[in-house]
Amino acid sequence: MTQLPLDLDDAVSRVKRGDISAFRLIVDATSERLVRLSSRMMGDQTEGEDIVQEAYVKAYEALTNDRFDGRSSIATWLYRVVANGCIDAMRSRARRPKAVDVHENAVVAPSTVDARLALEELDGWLNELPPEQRAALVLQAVEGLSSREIGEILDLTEGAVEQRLVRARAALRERRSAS
Amino acid sequence: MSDPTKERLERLRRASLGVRPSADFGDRVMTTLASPRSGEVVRPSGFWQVTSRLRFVGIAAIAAIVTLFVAIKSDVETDDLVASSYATPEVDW
Repeated sequence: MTQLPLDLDDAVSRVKRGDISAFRLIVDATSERLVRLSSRMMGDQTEGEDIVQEAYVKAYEALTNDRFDGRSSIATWLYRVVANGCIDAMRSRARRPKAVDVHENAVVAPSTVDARLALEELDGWLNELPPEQRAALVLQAVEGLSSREIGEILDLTEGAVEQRLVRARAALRERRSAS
Repeated sequence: MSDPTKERLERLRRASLGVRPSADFGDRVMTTLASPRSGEVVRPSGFWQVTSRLRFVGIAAIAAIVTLFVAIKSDVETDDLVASSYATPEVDW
């Protein structure tokens, strides 16, 4: 599931040789799925896009400085960077209130109305979960990853992932029965 | 028995499939990469090459000025010596 079915090896080689325009091929091939992932994890498309953009900058620097080892595909590697970027952003969001985006209405987001409402609902519903639990839950129940795949992304054992999922579901059930 | 949490997550998964990047997202990424901070417009190596070239030109100019100054100064001193030798009073034996 995390192995995105994309063959971007040629684009990667060109970027490594200094062809910046080839990076656009990587962006065009991966941005839809990565923005969807980060928007679901953050419950907000604007924040999601910022995290994906930072991931692309990291990827570009890694490719041009020969720090990308190629053990996984560039698409899978980006998926992992974005997922961990979301957890970091959730942690810092927990320390300070969520910023109000003054440009929110100006963003030309072609997402459907249903999709935007779903993100808002996800954010409100999962807001009180700790970042690691929220991430594990979204990756499993919304992105459809297995516990082993989530463990690889979050650098956790399968057991640790299962534990976070059980706690997250229990917290949501508790909130539901309390309301 | 149905699980309301699971059902709600599944509903939100399907609804959020319609999330698409902003129309200018790809352009924004490429602009960021090409900016002086992270892209190819200004590379650290290029910066140092330009700096060292400018530094070399500056040092060469200073060296030329110093050489000219020393040359003029030594010429003046030689003229003074010659002048003073002419000015040596004749000893009346």
